[in-house]
Amino acid sequence: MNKTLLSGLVISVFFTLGYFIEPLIRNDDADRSAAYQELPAQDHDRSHAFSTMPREQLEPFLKEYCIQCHGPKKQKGQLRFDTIDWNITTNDNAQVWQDVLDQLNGGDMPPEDADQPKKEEMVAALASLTKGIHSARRRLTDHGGEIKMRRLNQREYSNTIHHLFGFNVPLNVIPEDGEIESFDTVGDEQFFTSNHFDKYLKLNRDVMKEAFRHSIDYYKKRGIQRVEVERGVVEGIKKDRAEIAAKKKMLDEGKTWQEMGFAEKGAFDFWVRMLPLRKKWMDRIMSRPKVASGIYISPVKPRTNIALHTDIRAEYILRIHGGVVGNPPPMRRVALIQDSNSIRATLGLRGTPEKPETVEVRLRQPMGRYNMNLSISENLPTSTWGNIHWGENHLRRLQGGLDPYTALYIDWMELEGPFYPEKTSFFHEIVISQSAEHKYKKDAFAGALIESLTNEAFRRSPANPAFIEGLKSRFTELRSAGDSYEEALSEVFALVLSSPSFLYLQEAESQGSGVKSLDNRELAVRLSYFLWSAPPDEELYAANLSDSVARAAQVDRLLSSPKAKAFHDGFISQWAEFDRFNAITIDEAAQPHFNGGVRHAAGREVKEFFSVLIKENLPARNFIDSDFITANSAIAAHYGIPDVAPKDDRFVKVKLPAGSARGGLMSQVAFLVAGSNGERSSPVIRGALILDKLLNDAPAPPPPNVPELSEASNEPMTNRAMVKHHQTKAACASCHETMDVIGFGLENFDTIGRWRSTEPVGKEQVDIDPSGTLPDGDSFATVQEMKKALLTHEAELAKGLVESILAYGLGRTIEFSDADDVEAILGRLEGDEYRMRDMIREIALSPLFTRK
Amino acid sequence: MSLPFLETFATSAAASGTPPKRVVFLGGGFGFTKDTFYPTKAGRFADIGLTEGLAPLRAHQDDMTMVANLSNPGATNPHGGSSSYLTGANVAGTPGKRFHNSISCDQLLAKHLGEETRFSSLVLSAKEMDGGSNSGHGAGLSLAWDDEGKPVPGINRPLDLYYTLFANPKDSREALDDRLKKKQSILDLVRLDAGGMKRRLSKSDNEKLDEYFTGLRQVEKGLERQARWADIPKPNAPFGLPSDGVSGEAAIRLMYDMMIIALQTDASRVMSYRQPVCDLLLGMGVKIKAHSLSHYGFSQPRVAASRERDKKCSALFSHFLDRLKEAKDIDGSRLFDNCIVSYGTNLRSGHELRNLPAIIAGGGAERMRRGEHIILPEQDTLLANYWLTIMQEAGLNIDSFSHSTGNIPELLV
Repeated sequence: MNKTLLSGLVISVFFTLGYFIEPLIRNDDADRSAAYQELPAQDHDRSHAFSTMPREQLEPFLKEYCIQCHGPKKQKGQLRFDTIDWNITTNDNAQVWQDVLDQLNGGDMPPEDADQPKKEEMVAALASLTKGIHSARRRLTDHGGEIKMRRLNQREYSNTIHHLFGFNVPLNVIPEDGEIESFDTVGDEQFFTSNHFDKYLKLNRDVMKEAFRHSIDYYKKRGIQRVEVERGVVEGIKKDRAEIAAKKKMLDEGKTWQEMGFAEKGAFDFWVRMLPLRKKWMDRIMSRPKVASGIYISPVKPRTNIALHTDIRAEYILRIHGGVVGNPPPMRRVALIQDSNSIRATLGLRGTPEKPETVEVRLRQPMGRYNMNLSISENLPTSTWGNIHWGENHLRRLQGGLDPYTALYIDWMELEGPFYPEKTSFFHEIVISQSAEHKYKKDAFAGALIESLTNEAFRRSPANPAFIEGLKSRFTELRSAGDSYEEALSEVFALVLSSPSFLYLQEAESQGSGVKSLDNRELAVRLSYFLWSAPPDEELYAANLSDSVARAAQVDRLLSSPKAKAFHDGFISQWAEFDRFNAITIDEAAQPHFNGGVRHAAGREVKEFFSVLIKENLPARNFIDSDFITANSAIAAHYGIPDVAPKDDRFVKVKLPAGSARGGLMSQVAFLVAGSNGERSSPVIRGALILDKLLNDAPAPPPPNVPELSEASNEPMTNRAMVKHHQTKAACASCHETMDVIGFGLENFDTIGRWRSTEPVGKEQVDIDPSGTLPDGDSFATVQEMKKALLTHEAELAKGLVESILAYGLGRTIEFSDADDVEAILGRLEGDEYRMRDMIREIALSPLFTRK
Repeated sequence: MSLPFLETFATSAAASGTPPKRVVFLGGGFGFTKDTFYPTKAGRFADIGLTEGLAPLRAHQDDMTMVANLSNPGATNPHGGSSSYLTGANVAGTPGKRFHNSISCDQLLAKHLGEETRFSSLVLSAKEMDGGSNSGHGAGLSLAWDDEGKPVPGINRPLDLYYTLFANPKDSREALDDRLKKKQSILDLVRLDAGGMKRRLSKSDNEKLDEYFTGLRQVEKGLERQARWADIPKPNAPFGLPSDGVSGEAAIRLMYDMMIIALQTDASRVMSYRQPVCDLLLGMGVKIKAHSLSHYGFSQPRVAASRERDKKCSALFSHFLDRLKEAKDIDGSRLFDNCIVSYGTNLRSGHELRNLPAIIAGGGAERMRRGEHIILPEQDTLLANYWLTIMQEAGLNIDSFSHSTGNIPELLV
């Protein structure tokens, strides 16, 4: 969520040359704060914008070290702590305390010739000040629970189009959400520019073109297209060998490279260098028993393709019939399925070349990409077989040697489909099903179509009659100007989809004074965008949601629908900082274990884990530690967990052996990579992430203007020693002591999330020391013990989750002013271990959820 | 690539024979190396010399001014050097708002200086894979923020700027008028829906809806302006299409070169450019990201890389000033003489937000002292006061901007 915060934490780890900060508290300070006069009070109640600095902790320190110069006797810098206002109600109050903090952080106070506090005293004072100011500032910016009307984000737009027309729009063609600090559902963080309107209009015209092209087509007959992949491979090798022999002969005869037909010397040299490698690989492949009936993935044939022109309304099943050759390391048993845009899936192969088995995955294409063109290869770094020499290097790094040479055998592949959904799309319904004899093609029918599409697109909020009339006359105009029936309707519908009533989730203003409750339709919309990121279905619109039993039943039904994946994925990927994970680049050539397939599976692991917690209504504490993981073949191989080979691309729940270091969020590869800088693990970021996400105790944002320590040594040292170094300074230690220790506990997980017991320091391997003592006094020697100790914070974890899920569902950040409602939700969950499905239900039943 | 001179295009300014004033803001993310970039003494550069980081600007040392002791108290995020750089807004401390911003000075200037040109302003930016935070920009899409404090999207690729400046739309004025009419009828229709909504919504939701309306108005304004300029051809491109994937130094150079052409052909008189930082480093062979490099004290190789980055930035800026001096304005004077070019960011070094780097060049600010490093007597002189001074020099009749308390007389002769 808070990207700035996280990247900031790295700051204090690597300090720069010490530099001097000028004191901020000066005689002319009045001018400076006057420059920032308070804005007039907002309409809503601002009593929550009040906070008090932690006087008990701070006053003794100030009396001891500060009051001599800033007290009754002297008031240097016009500051006196005996009369200072401990309450913070304005930005100016806060600024006074911020200046005090800056002075202490900067090491400018107390002055050199005065008594100096001990480091522990300074650390404690800085920690209290930092926390006090951070929370004061949060209270000052408290918006008092106001929900800003919001625009459909990219995910919601795509799902809403799907609801109406039955196909997906690829997210990257939808106007961007912008950089979001909290969640993509928070209206306050969104904006709309002229670009947006033009982009929406253009996109919506494309959508309507597709809608007419596809939705009014009848369903196609299902079929199977099978590819015998070995076709041409043996012949190719034979031809290649003949060519090599011919060239070799010319070479032996002393022919020049030009005579041999090379365009340049470099190409010739490369050919000569690669020749022995190529020959060896051809021999290896040709000696395989099943070479005539399938392919062995190798540099001779690194990938195979299958393509089909698909119907974007339907799913297709890709089947791979093959097996694993011999007994390669687990990570080499995984096949990678990609198209030209992205990785689509990883599949662990089952069976052997002698007794092949079939594995499968269901796929569907989005708008504009009818052609499903899949490439199947082994899950190795992308560059592996671009050059045989590099490829061999990767193999050596992965498994210590070239043998086993090949790991995957494929007999055949096929695509079966289309598999249409049970229900046709809304659009299909209104244009075809309701007019069996293609009445829709008649102009007289257009008015009715316009009305019903607008009604559904506007989520059944009554449209302005003048707008509907305008649409109809627009249709007539376009028709008389020569547009075809479909062109004219497309244009009109594109306008509907570019109108604010479609693009914004609107909730009407309260009539009269007092707190406004949503009406039944508005509540249905809020609920379905919360759990489906899509409009309500018939049943939800019809339900009496003011009745809490009925509402709870609907929540349960919505969560059980496959559409709830939108919530699982949408919430957890933002909460668990996927954008940070995605932004970390790992050099695959240096770390071939972390390749495209593992990255793809790592993102899914977090989502699948969260969806298991909801499906099985498990306690929230599973985020800290769990006795199971969710894995597919690629993840299990990465973790070294044997025998996970589902026959499709699904993730399965795997029970962990007792004492396993895995379990929970913090030992999942996506989390561990997000807690790294790509080259090495970052205990600081990992610790901060855990404080923020799992303990609901986010560290204060990195303070500006903290002077850096003197230059760090260039001697190689352990990660732990390097990070620990900065704790010698009180200004850094005040926050870092707390977060770094948790990160140290995870040092047994390397940058890419694999287990390690040593780390390289210079040329040596040094044992990892994960031990530490948590701020509340619990000591631990291993990551397992640390997780156990952190489990005592389950209530804080639950509070953080409730606040985050509420923020996602309401579309606004949760503030101090919401404290009572949040406590009430937690009170109902506390007795039964804060179970996740219960949590979502209680959030949806909370009075906060029905409030505008 | 050498840039041929271009004939200046017919504009009202050309008709009057007096070159118009132009203002350019260049900015980028994290700051510079503390010990080797910033001069410590006040005085003429000719006397005090240039620091290592500024050395590439030697050819311009008598024509530029560097100002010390400016601070922007609205900036509190040590990774966000660009969010409030041109706005001076109190982004994180405004009651009732998690984030708040206000109009940037380039957009304010555009309202006054942008009426007679094809584009009221040109807002340039860069889209880096790591996003704004890693480069030290913080929230926002460019340096520019509109009236309502919403981020203004920038032209991110040299290729897009190329199309903007040189691609002549095939439409005639009639075709454009026709398109405008069509667009207006579309917008009118959409407004009918919005009108229906307006009545039902709360005050604050109506504010949100106003964003949508503002978007629509901008669409119309854009078309109107396009129609007004339909009969005046765009300048011919002096070089071929830039490649799609150009980034880092090459992108900055191309953007700079095209900015010069845009200024010279009077396509716009106000420009801002939020420069790429991580991509620049990548192109220099520096493996670490801009944020990590801002903690350069960690090791000697980082210090060296940070100093190289400083020199590279100064060299690129110097290239921009060279071009400005080479280009002729309508009255035969140097384009440079009629421009005000500001260069800087909210971040000084590392994560220091105070005493930020500020360099100004060009003859457009006639009363500005030139050729020296000025240390302002008051520490933390408001950056907004600096912008106010610059805008007044650009001819704006205003006496306050953002949280300003007055202009800075020490900068003026």
